[in-house]
Amino acid sequence: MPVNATDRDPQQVLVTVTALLREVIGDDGGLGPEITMDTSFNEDLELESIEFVALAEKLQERYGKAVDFAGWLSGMELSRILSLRVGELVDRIVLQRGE
Amino acid sequence: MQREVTLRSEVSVSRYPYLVDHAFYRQRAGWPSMEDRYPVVPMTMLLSIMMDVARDLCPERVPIGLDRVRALRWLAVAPPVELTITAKVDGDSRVDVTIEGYASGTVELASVYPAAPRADATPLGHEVPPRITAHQLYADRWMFHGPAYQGVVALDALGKDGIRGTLVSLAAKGGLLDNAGQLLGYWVMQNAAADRLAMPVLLERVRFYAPEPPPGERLECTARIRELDPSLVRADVELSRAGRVWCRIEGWEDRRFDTDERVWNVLMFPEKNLVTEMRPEGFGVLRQPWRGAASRDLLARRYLTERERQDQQKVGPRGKGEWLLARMAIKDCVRRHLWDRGHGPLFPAEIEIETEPSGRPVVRGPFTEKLHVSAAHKQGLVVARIAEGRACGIDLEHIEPRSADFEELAFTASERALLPASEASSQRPGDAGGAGASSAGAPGGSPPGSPRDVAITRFWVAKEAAAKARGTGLAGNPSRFVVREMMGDRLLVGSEGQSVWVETVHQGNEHIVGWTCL
Repeated sequence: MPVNATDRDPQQVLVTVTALLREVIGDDGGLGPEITMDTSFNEDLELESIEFVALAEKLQERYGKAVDFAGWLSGMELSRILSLRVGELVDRIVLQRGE
Repeated sequence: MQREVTLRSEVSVSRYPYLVDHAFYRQRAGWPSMEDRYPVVPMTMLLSIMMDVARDLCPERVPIGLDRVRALRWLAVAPPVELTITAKVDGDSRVDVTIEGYASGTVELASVYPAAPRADATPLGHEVPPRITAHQLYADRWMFHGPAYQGVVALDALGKDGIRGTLVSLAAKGGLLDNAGQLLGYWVMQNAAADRLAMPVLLERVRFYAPEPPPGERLECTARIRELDPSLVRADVELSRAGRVWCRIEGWEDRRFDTDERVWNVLMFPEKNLVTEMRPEGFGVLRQPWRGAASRDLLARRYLTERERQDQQKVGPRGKGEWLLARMAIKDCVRRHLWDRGHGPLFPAEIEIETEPSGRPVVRGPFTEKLHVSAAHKQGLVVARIAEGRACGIDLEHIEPRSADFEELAFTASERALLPASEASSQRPGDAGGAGASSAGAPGGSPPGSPRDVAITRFWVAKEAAAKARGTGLAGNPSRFVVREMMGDRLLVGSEGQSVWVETVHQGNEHIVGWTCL
């Protein structure tokens, strides 16, 4: 998969991740909660387990397997997952795509 | 001549003690929270307030009626509310009154009351004697009103197109017209199979022909239905004495609330009824019973306590409806469980639910049993389960085709090996080197509801139910709980050396429910 320069720009990645998240939570119209780097998956977006998987699926489609969202989560403590923010995922993608 | 004034006025149960008798929600005797009982100002009292304002502004004139009185939302008075009332005097015969945020209307003024017309004596269509007495109207809870608003003293006739009764004038402000509204409300209850609860929202034209009769005086009242549609009922209402009209209201409009049989029973006798349907397998199922926000809020107040309503404020917009449904279902499961063990009547508010940071609900109430509960939701559908002395977990998922990527992300290789083969399995999931190869997210090759889709859904709910029984849920990490074995609808799920059997079952055609107890 070719690496676009935009995949290394956090703001561009945020735009993409936001769009994917909106698909996952069924908010295609964008009328739901605002999504920023500081938005938490659990408290703000109320993402359910199966939606984490759906997001992992979409991230893999878009960025390839190296991003490995599911694998990343599986290494985390529960409390860490509960407080995880969109910005942390964006950072990870930027880092992975930069390599 | 035009002038405008703004007034402030406090409404509270201490200023108007009789409002305690106009509280929507019956609670256990001695219930400590007035907010939970939800005393509200009757719309007819707002009419009185509007006329008082006009009378003060134009003391030499007589308020002979009101036009287009509209109520915007409930004026609940616990905690007390300070009203901002603006009044605009237009010439010498009209005062526009706005009770900011709650109601508006125009008071009509004259120098004297007009001559009272003869009461309309036209019989109602197909008049029959009502099936209950006026006493039963209150004793059997057709009306929520306490003694200060119990002014219907006789139900005289029920017709296809209206109702007749006898009212007694009350000390409570607006009480007499509220009683006329009770007659109309009772007619709806008797003539609608569903959506039987109706509350006034608009009075198009009100005319008085004399001052309000002093408390204790009897009046005849007839409500004639002009329109009944799914969301509203419109009627003309006449109150008269000795054959002469005291008050005539044209276009009295009640809004109807979504209430099916279950909701209705819970509103009538909350301490003995459930909205949640209990399945023989031992879990409760609740499908969103409301269509609009007004009916949702009606049930929220019926089920939640003051503290739970504060929690509700913190729930994001996404989960609000299901958060409420889950609490209703959990409270119903707890109440069913306790009733089955000989416990007496229990109001929903007597069971209180707190949510731990992990999302696990914890219940407390007037019981000593160690009760554990779990709930799950999906698109307006909620399931809940209770267990005594042991932890339990329940999950609910929609059966739908899942992509090969999904299977790979959600399940381990050993789990995938347990799944039935997909019907068109020319390409096994997991063989794509890069995301590009399977990027279309193509469904696993099966039609919705295929054995494979169903099995995938069973696997998922089994893992999630086992994880919830452990108190956490999968929390984004499905590999922590692994399906080790499948025997029919039962799945063995393991985590860190421990295994538990999870039962699964269809809920309707489209969902699978899974549950387990530790």
